[in-house]
Amino acid sequence: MSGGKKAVGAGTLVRRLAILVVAALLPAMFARRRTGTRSLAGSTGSHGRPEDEQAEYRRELGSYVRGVSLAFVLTAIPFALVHWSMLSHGWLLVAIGVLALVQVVVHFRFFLHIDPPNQHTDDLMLILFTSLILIAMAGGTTWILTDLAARMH
Amino acid sequence: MSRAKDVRHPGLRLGEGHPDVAADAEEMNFGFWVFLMSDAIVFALLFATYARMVSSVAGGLGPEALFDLKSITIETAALLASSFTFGMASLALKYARSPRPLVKWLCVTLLLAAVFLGFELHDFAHMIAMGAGPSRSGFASAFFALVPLHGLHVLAGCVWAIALMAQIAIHGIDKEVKLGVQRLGLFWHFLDIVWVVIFTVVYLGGLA
Amino acid sequence: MTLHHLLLGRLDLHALPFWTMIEHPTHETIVNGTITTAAAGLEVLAAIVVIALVTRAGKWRYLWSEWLTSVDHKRIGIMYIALSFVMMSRALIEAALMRTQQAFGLGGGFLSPEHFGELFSTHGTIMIFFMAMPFLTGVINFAMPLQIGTRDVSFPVMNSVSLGLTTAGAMMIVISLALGKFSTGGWSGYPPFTEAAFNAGVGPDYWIWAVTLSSLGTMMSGINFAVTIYKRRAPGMTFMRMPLFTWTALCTAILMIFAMPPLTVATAMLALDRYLDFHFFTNGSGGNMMNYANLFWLFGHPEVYILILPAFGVYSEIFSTFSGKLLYGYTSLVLATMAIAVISFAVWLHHFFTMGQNASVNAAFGIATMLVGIPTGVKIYDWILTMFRGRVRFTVPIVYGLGFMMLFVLGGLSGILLANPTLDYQVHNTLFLVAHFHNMLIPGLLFGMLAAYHYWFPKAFGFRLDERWGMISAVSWIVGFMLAFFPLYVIGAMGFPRRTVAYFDPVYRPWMLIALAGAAVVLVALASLFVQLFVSIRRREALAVPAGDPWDGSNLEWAIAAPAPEYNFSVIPDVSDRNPFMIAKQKGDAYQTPAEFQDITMPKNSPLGMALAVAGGALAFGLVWHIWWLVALSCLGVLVAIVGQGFARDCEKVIPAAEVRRQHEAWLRTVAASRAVPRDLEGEPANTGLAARDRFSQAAE
Repeated sequence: MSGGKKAVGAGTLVRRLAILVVAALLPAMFARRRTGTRSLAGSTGSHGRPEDEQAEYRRELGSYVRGVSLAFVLTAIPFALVHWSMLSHGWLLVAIGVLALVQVVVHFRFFLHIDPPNQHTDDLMLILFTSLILIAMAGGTTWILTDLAARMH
Repeated sequence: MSRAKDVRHPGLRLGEGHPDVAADAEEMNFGFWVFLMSDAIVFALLFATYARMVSSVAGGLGPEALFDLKSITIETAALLASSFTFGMASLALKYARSPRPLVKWLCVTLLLAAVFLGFELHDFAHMIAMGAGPSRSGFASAFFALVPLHGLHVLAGCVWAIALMAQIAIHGIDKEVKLGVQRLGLFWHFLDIVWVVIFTVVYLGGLA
Repeated sequence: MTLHHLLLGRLDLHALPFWTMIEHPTHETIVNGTITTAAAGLEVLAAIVVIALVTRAGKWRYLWSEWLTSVDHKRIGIMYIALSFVMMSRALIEAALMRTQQAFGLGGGFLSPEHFGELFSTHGTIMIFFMAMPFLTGVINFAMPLQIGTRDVSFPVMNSVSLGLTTAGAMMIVISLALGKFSTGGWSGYPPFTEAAFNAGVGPDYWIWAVTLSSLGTMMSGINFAVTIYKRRAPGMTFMRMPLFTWTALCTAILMIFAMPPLTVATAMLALDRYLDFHFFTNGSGGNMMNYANLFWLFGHPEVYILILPAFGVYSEIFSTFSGKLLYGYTSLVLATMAIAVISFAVWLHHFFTMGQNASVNAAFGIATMLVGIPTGVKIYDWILTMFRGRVRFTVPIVYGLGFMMLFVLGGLSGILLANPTLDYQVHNTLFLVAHFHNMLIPGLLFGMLAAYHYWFPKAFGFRLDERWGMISAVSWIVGFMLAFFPLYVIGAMGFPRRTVAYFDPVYRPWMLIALAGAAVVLVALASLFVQLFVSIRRREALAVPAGDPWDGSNLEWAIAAPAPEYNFSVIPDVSDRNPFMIAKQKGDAYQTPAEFQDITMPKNSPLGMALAVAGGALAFGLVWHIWWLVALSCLGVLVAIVGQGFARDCEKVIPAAEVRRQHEAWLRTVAASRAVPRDLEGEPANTGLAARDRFSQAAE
């Protein structure tokens, strides 16, 4: 793999992408099968008994496996899109932007265990407020400096 | 019901098998979480600055000529895998009866981080060799403030992991170590998120 | 590289304040050199006197174990406020010097432009980062945990580290007076003027590292306060039962958490430009200095509300307490506080309307700026209605409060004028702006903090402050402020640029002389504060309030002894409504012996704060003077201290239940022996901290 952009036939492209996705999704499917007892483990809730602990362990392990599989898929797709220049420049930017946002959510959900319906309100409020400030600051900076740059020319 | 009660802070909950940390975990993890949000603002501003300065190459080389997707792919794979192995370390902390699995997974994580840092340093050296060191242009300055800062965070995480292993050697897995591993977990997964934005905005955005 | 460079970097004899006047004795160097040397000499002398006094009294061990390594939030708060007073004294003297220069500045004056530049830069930097911030951080540290009924903040050791870093930053400015020169770039340090190309000396570096140390400390304080308020409130104290000061502390903490990163980013980028030849803000090579203005004010505007919100909280407490009424419009005050906090992140561009962005960008930020006036107006009306039909007692805090209310509205109106970009173009960068922000910050911050100092001093030390000297000081502050700054509005509107050392049009002169008189009155106000402290300490027996409730207060901090015990509360109180102590007094439930005492676990002292203060200060000093071995050594020190802290175990001590019972019962005996005083006798020696229930007492509805 080199960083250059090559023109590749559309059929080849689709095939490569499909292989990539399937390869990355395999562990995710595997994980879902293994964690079939998830709802059970979630609802019993009493700890201490070895079988319960075992079930909870499997559930949490499955969650990590699913998270990392999704992460790899969501990483592989934009890398492939860029490497083989599959879309026009504008759409490419949109696509990798959206995929990155999805991946950020995946990381929050599976690695940082932010789980909206059950999450502690304080933590959720904090994330939402941070997002608000972050958008205001980064967005405002971009707006102001772009405007200035446009007027300097 | 117990799930809702259990969800008191971000990151992996150690649950009822670890009553010693229950009292402190919520406060400590929340505090660290607040710090991470503050840190997120630092990165956000560096991203905004980078986005503004990416075209300020001052006649020097730009992203297309400097970035190597192959190296970035390896770095990304190593860092994503390290997030998973850290998850395994967290599970080992929660379920294992001995410290061995925890230490083992921390070591694997460190190894992956070393791969990441090694390739990243190689990238930087390559850029400097191409005449695109930080003093070359506004673009190079913005790049060398943003990406190495993430690298420094990863390095700090490695120092922290080593310090935690030394604490395990001296004190065993006590309350402080458990709280430390939990917080390092938050830190580590947070850095992964920052990296996702870096490879998207800086590398893929630059090569797109 | 010579041995000298290796050992001392660029530090040499030229760093001494009198060296230039010896080498090049001209009229100008001699005048300026003498002033600086005298100031530096005074500083060194003061340090020697303090060291000698502490040594003679044999108090080093006491100082170390009871104060410097203490992690008690009350002591840390008191140390913050002490730091603030010291720094305020210096910055006020500088202000008076600048007023003197401008009063005699027609055609020249006696200060060199460089010296004048150093003066306004240190004055601004100190007043914001080392007077205002430590003062409000100290007040929040002291009062907030008491108000929410907890024994300490969430992270007591980190609290001590915050204090250490802030102090180290302040020390950078203190040292800059004796060694080298401070920045001449103003408190905002705009590049490219502060870039190495135009300012290769140590000045901007002093500024960068002083501010960076302080901003790191402030960010940690913010995290500490927010987590404490979120996680440590007494049982039953829901958010809408928190005292209003705690609400403002929470909003301030949130602002600190999110507003300090932009400052850190801006100063770090400037440092990278200066030290490693980056091109963030340089003129050439793709640098963009406008981004500095953008980043700095992303911090700078929320900072304004960091400064003002705690004072709003203090005013809410004192208007209610000293009017003998419950706070009017609690919910609207809470909502207004939150609204101000959020809007403060959306107005930063009004600090650089004239930078050249197009009119619609300016209009958007201008409108957002005017919106801030709405919640602020709500607050003013709430306070007025709190006093309405109350029995207002004219104590020192309420005099500050009334002064604030009238002056702040004026300052706010001039702010609304400036929020209009077209008008801002006319008066931007003039003394009109200087008058405006002093008009906001002196009544809006300083008066509030001084009111807080009077209000909570008895809780900290067990005796009230002398009312007479307090009143002299308060009136002097108010009058002095008006004399010093109202003329600046006029001169500013006449076009006088800020930060100007001299002028050639005699029309400004009469106004400058009035302003000078104002500065003199302000110095009297400052001196009165010190006299007041001295007099109060001498009269501490007569002013003692051991029962703990000198002002007939309504929140939890008044429900304990004065001075407050180390663990604050013998038993963590249960809260069932707002104004819990007032309700308890009315029901006759106050001053009870709890059913059961328990052992109390408190954090042990920690030297980490001091270690990081020394290492951080040494790091900054090394960076300023390019003493690289010191930089390496202190980096290592920082690393060892932080990593080493992780290995610390057994960081808590236990205060046995029997000891808690003994102290509690001793306090209750004091209460029983005290005569309850009505509010008429509040300022008399008869007030020993037990409030009588009379018909003017607050009514809890």
